[in-house]
This record gives sequence, structure tokens and C-alpha cells, in this order.
Amino acid sequence: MDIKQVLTDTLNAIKQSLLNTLGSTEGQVVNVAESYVLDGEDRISALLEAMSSGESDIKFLLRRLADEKNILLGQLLSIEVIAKGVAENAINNAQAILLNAIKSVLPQN
Amino acid sequence: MFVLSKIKVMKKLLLFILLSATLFSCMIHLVPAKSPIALVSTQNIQKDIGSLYDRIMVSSDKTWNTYALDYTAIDVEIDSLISYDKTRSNVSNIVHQVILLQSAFTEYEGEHKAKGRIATSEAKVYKSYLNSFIKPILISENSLK
Repeated sequence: MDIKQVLTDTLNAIKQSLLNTLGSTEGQVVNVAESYVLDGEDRISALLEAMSSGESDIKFLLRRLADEKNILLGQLLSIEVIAKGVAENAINNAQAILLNAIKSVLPQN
Repeated sequence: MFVLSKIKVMKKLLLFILLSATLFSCMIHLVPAKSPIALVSTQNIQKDIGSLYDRIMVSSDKTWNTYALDYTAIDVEIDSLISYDKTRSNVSNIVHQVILLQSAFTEYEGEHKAKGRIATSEAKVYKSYLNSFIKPILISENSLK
């Protein structure tokens, strides 16, 4: 058994898996970013409307601006979930290759 | 001769089972499996929050008392989602997202209660902000396999 070759194959599997999964998850990450911009436009417009109508005070504005931090945190947590899914896929594919290589050199009888 | 051959077959079978079990036990889980229950529950919360503030916006009665039961019902829905999510493995990020939603919803409910009556423009702000807390939860759930 060529151990170096097996480990190289395992590393290549990780690279390939990351490339494949990153390709398919790119759209999800773009969704997160687009949703932040599009929804942000809605939020800030609604907030400015409430302020300009005189129906809300400065405290209301400051509290909503403080909420923006938590909204961004929520969006970034989505990116973390997506990234963990990508890592999980790559690790498990690599593990399967390593175990299959070891299985193939074990005595058959 | 027949017995020896049978032992060999059994040994191969055992080895196969052992390696398969090892492979399965070595699988890493960093994210939970997709949950249709959590997804539907989140969509219902989104729908009910939207409906609550839409009704407040068009109604002439915008007092907290009128909508107290609706607030409580949504509170319970969010609580149930958190409790359900906590039973899933590797779900800390999503639980964190739902807790952010719960904090915001509780804060907005508290503001409505304290003021007694909110303006149409404020109801629109609350709906828009809460939607921005719900969407990331849906994105996370939909990214799972």
C-alpha cells in the first residue's frame, strides 16, 4: 500500500468535495447577502417613514438601529451553518476514501 | 473442507460489517439533518407575525389589549420551536437565530404594551424587522440535507 498516494487521494477528495459543494452553496451565500440588502432597504425605509411621520421618537429609532446588529448576526449565523455543511461533506468524503483504501489492502481470505 | 469454506465466508462478512460500522461511526456531523417540522414551524411563525401586524396596520383599534392573545400565541410558537430545535443535534447556530427572533419579538411586544397603542408606521417597522430575523432561520434550514 502506497500510504503517501492514499493520503494524496484523500486530500484531493477534500479539495474536489470543497469545490463541488462550494459551487452548489455559492447561491445560498449570495441569497444571504441579497436578503440582507433587500430586506435592509425595506427596514430602513419603514423606519424613516415612521420617523418622518412624527409617530415615533428618537428612542424608537435608536432601538431599531441597535436591532440591526442582531439582524446581521442572524445572517452571519446562516453563513456559518452553510459553511459547516460544506466542511461536513468534505471530511466525510475524505474519510470514506481513506477507509476504502485500507479495506482494499486487508487480506481477502 | 465445506466447514473451512464457511468459516472463510463468515470471516469476510464480519470484516465487511466491521469496516462498514467503522466508516459509519467515523462520519462527522457538524450540522443537523433537515427538519420539515422546524421548517413548517418557522414558516407558520412568519405567517402569523405578518398577519398580526397587517391586521394592526389596517385596523382603527391598535391597542395592545386587542392583540394580547395574538402576541401570546406567537410567543408560544417561538418557544415551541426553540424547545424542538434543542432536541436536535449540532443545531446551536439555528437555536441562536431563533433566540434572536424571540428577543426581538418580546421587545416589540413590550414596546406595544408600554405605549398602549402603536402607529401604523411602527407596525410596519416591527413586521419588517421581525421578517429580517426569520429569513436567516429559513435560509439555514433550507441549506440542510
